[in-house]
Amino acid sequence: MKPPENKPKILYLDDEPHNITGLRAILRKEYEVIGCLSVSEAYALLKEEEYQIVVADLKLGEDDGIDFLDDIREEYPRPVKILLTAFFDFAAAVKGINKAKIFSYLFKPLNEDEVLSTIRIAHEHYLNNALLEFKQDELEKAHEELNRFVYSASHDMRAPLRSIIGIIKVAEMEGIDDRVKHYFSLIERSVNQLDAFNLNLISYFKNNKQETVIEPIDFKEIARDIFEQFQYYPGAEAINFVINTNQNEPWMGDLFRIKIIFNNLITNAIKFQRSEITNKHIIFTCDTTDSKKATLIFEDNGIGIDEEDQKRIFEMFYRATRQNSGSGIGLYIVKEALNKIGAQIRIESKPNIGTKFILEIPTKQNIEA
Amino acid sequence: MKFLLIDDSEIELYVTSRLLDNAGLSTSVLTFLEAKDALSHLLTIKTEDQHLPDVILLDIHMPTMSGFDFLDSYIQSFGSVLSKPISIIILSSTADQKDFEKAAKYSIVKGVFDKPLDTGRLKTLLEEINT
Repeated sequence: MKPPENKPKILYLDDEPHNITGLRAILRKEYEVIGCLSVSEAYALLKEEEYQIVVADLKLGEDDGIDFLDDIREEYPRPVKILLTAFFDFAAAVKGINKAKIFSYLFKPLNEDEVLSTIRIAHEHYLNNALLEFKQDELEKAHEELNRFVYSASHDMRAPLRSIIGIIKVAEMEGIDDRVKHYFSLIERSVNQLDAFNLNLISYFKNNKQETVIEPIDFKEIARDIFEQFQYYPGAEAINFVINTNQNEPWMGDLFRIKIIFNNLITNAIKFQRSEITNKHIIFTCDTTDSKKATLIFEDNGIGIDEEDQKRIFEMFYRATRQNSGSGIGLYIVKEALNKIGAQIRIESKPNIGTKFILEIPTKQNIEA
Repeated sequence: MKFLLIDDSEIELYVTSRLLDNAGLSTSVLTFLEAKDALSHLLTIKTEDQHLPDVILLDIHMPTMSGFDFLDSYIQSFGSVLSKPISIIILSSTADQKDFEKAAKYSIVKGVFDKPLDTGRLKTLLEEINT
């Protein structure tokens, strides 16, 4: 026999004391039955400790057992609820199930076997739910830890990467022969790639975590800043960057996510140029005349994307080309960021002609305004 | 120009010193692995203008005393005492935009730079400050 303090606790609400004595007698070997005669008494008991099962009589003088079980549902979701009735009442059964979400019924007069089996099943149900809840907590904790781990690992990786670039810079400045210089430029390119991937990972996790902040946005300025930032990129200096915009006043939106989207789409347009053509261009068009949304178009005359790949480029780690050994995470992050701000993206592309990304972003109202 | 560098990485201190030297920006470079040592050094020479640096390049993420801790202590210790203006510039590889935003809020911080140091940009910035 288990020690008494380990017995599952049943709260039993019934306005007739002899019913409480009866149920306690049937269950005393396995369960501790705590009886109460009124709804207010039941509330006081619930507040004090956790019960595995709550049994309530349907007729409680002025009160109603179903209403009681329904009322405690939100604050005490864990205890399994059982309704006790003297006879089968169809309306009460429907109300009990639909409204109070009761688990099962017991009928008076109490039949010992039936009571025991009903209570045991209810208790098992309680244990299963508790286990599920525990596992879910564990899962959430593990997920959160994994996120934090990747996030801080990415942060920590950046410092040594930037160190390597620094050392290469010093070596280049201080004179090294051409062959070594070539090797160093290859190392630099690889490190920059790793750094870019790393920064992408960080923005992916930030996109998941960060709350939406609505700020005034100047699309032209963001596009130009990002293009200038990537001027160092091999081949970027030969690209004609054109901005067409009719935006006259700040547009309200989520600046952080807009930047993630612009960053990836513009760097892709820079990376996936056709080296053989001379009139390389990227055209950014921005239309804010519709007060409900902004329409943005990023157009290039680069290598293009064939139809099959167009369906898959937003998948995580999908790479459509060997040109530029990217990691295949950029457009996935774009998609995630677009989802967060409720935006749509469409693609028009032909291999060896170019690619057009068309975005529609809903305008947000400034809450403070 | 006299530089004082604070960074917990010896490699970074070496790289930045070489970059400054090669760019012909520095007449002397003093390096510190611990921000608190840099602070006590500054305290001992605070009245000797000829020994005070012109520029402090400061990292953000460092153990014991971070770049922000250094800035707070610096303001507390020197406030308006120093007769010579020292330009403090943040040089960090932080990937957290918030760090840069926070640093830029300090009026004594004259610029924020990603690593490795872009000496061309630094030169332009210092010229702007000194005119």
